[in-house]
Amino acid sequence: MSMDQLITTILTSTAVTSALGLLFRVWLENRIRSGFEAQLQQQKEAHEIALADMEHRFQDQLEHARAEMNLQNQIAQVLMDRRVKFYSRIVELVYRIRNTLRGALEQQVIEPDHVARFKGNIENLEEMIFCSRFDLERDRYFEPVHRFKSDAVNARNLLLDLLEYQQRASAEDREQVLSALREQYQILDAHHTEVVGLLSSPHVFTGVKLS
Amino acid sequence: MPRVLLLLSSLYTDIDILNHSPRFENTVFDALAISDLPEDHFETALRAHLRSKLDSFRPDKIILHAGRAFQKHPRAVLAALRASQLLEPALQIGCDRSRAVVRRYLEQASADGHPASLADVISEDEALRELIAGIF
Repeated sequence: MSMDQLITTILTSTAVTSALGLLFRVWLENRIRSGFEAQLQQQKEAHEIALADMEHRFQDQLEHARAEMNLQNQIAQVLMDRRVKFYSRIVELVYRIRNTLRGALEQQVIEPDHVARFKGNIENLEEMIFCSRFDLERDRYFEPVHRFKSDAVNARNLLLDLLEYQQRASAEDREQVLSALREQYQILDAHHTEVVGLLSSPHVFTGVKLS
Repeated sequence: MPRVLLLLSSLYTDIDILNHSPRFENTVFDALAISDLPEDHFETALRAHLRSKLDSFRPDKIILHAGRAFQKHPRAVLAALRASQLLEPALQIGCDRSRAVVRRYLEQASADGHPASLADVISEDEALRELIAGIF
């Protein structure tokens, strides 16, 4: 092999190797890039799906929370309406019972009409307590209202006794019962203040407790 | 001989007023506050108290106030009253609510339904109802 032929062979071999190397490099780069892009695309899609899922769940929870809040508001409104209806009537009856007894005590003679009115108001109060018993229990007002009603029943019994002694013209016994009735009025008056205070408080109608 | 009445009512019923009343001159009142009985073994406690009252006080009549305590345990109260009546057949049992209302309380108190016949222990005698109207 001559020198020229050797140089030509070397140069040709180098050029072919370089070309092959370049081709391999381009092929490899393309291969890596396409693999990476495919992976990237896959990850992107997975993230998009996860994001869409999260958004869907969030919307779901938001909707659920909204529905729950609406329901709570509706329940609160129903409770409020019932309180306005029954509690205001109870307060009115508590006033009437206290005032009727005070009126009876201011009279020299107890009239059967007075006693009948007193009895009627107690019966109406019992009815109201029965109708609103669940609200009273929930608000923890049942006990004071029930105690006031029992005070009123005790006072009614004394009024009936007084009426009986009046008919018998038994002055000493009448005075004794009148004294017991005055004491009962003091108890009733104190419990009346408590019940009116509780059932008319802003908390009852707004649900907000004032400190 | 005075008639003897046992009231099953709340703590606040003042039997002192009733025992001094000219309207009930021939009557002695005693009371058992059913609202005061323990919630966890209400029926057992009620039966024991009733038995003790029957033995010591020998009431002719038991008058039930159908208030909150009764409305919570209608079956237990009526079953205890029926047991008392079995011990003392002459015992008359009245209530400040009609038998129909008592039956309704029984039905409301349980979804599976208590035997409505338990309400039959409540007497609907007119004289007894009139007496009750003067107490509660």
